[in-house]
Amino acid sequence: MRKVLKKLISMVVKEIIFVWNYLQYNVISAMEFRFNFFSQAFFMIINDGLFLLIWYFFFSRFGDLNGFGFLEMMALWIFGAGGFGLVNAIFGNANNLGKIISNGELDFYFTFPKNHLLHALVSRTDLSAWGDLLFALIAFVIFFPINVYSVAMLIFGIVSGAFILLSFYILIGALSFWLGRNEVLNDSLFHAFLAFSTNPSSVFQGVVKFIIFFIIPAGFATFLPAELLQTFSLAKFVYVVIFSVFFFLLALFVYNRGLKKYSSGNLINVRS
Amino acid sequence: MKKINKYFSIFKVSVRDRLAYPLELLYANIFILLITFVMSQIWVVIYAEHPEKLIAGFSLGAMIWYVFMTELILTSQPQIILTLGEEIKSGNVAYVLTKPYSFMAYYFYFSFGRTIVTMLVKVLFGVAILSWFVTLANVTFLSILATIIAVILALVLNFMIAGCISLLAFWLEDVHSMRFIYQKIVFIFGGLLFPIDIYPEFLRKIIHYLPFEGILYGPAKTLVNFDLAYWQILVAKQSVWILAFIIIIKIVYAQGIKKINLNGG
Repeated sequence: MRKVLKKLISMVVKEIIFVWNYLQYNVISAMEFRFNFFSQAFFMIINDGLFLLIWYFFFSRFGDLNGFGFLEMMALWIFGAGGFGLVNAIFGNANNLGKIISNGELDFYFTFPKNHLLHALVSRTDLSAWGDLLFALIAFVIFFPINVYSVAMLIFGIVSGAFILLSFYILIGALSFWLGRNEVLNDSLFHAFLAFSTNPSSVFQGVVKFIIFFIIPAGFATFLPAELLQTFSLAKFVYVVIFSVFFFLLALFVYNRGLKKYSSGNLINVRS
Repeated sequence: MKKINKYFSIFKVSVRDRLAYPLELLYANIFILLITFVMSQIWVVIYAEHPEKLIAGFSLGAMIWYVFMTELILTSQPQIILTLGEEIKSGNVAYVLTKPYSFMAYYFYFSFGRTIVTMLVKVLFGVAILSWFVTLANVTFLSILATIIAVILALVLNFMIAGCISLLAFWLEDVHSMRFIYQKIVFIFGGLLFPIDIYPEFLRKIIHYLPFEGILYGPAKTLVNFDLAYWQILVAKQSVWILAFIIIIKIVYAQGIKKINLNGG
């Protein structure tokens, strides 16, 4: 048992080092086009800020929605933008997974000794995602008190949200194993996740609430972390942890089932 | 006549290209219906607290249809800035110089073909589904005709502004970031999620001098709260802005094309 555990830990550490090395490589590559990198990140911060400005006008005019006000909206956006930013900065290809599968481009990653899925996900960084991540941090510093609890919840919420979003990306990407080219469906489901995770949670009730938590799980990615940032609840904390792990395992299970249906695109080539 | 035929052919190719993947067209309805639903949930809560059942002149039903209309216009057009920006950045624009058509006109008709197909499918499915849940009152033949005209002008205007921004790729390394900002400017000043009537007074005054009202708010308001006097001003404004941006595009393109270096091969 101890041997298995040791092997598992060593494997995870190796994968983390691999991701870290790839991230450094991606950032160095992005730095080749410095203006491009900084402008995309900078404009994404402005972009997120402008979106919140619309909500500021809205809440100024109508007040709270069932107890959900501008501060709650900020918390939602911190985890929405933060989780999205973290995933797409590190696993910038996650959004393209469906396309990679339907184009038969997984072949390229099969030729390497590393885990092909992990390799495919980390082989790109989304430049603007760094702006989202930075926006989350700036918004947190401006609107929330900085103490050990809030910083811990910020990190916890962003990491768990990123984990859930990454799993969601893998799940919707894996649909391509069965459906083939389905970029629009992929895109629609992703935008559904974004729409649910960045709109006032207090207005959703009944079946819709069930969908938001268990079908398009934006609820676990942003609603609960946003509530935890303001008030601690052990139950909510545990729900997020359990769901993040469960959803990730589910995504891997579905992906591996789909992989059996994968047909090669005969695209083995060398990257320059 | 030959010129019209040439661009009409591009339009037809674009329509056929869009129709090649019918399932994708159906999937495209998911997001628009979903975001309309999300926004409708918000408005249901707000209207429950307003006994007069009218906010800024909009009933609850009108507000939900307003969101559907703005999303319909916004999500039916392809990513103009990205496509044109990439063509310029990659140097593909140079190949067009040897061909008997205008670069901007080519993409205008190509984009329009795709947009019309996407929009029609969304209208067919979206309207059928939305009508099942929400009734849109006071719709007449005249208001629908006026909406169609306003929507067509809105699509042209959006293409012209986005096209103008994409031409900046002649000078800038990348126009991706410009796209974010343009999108958000249209969201805010165009009134994507909420009609501009709910904005503060100072902002509404500024918006009236900008072209973005004519892209989303104007056509959507025409459908849900038709007012002939407003529509006449809207169409006049849209037309003036379109002309202004055509002139700007011509000037910027003429300057930008000088930046191209051909190395042969």
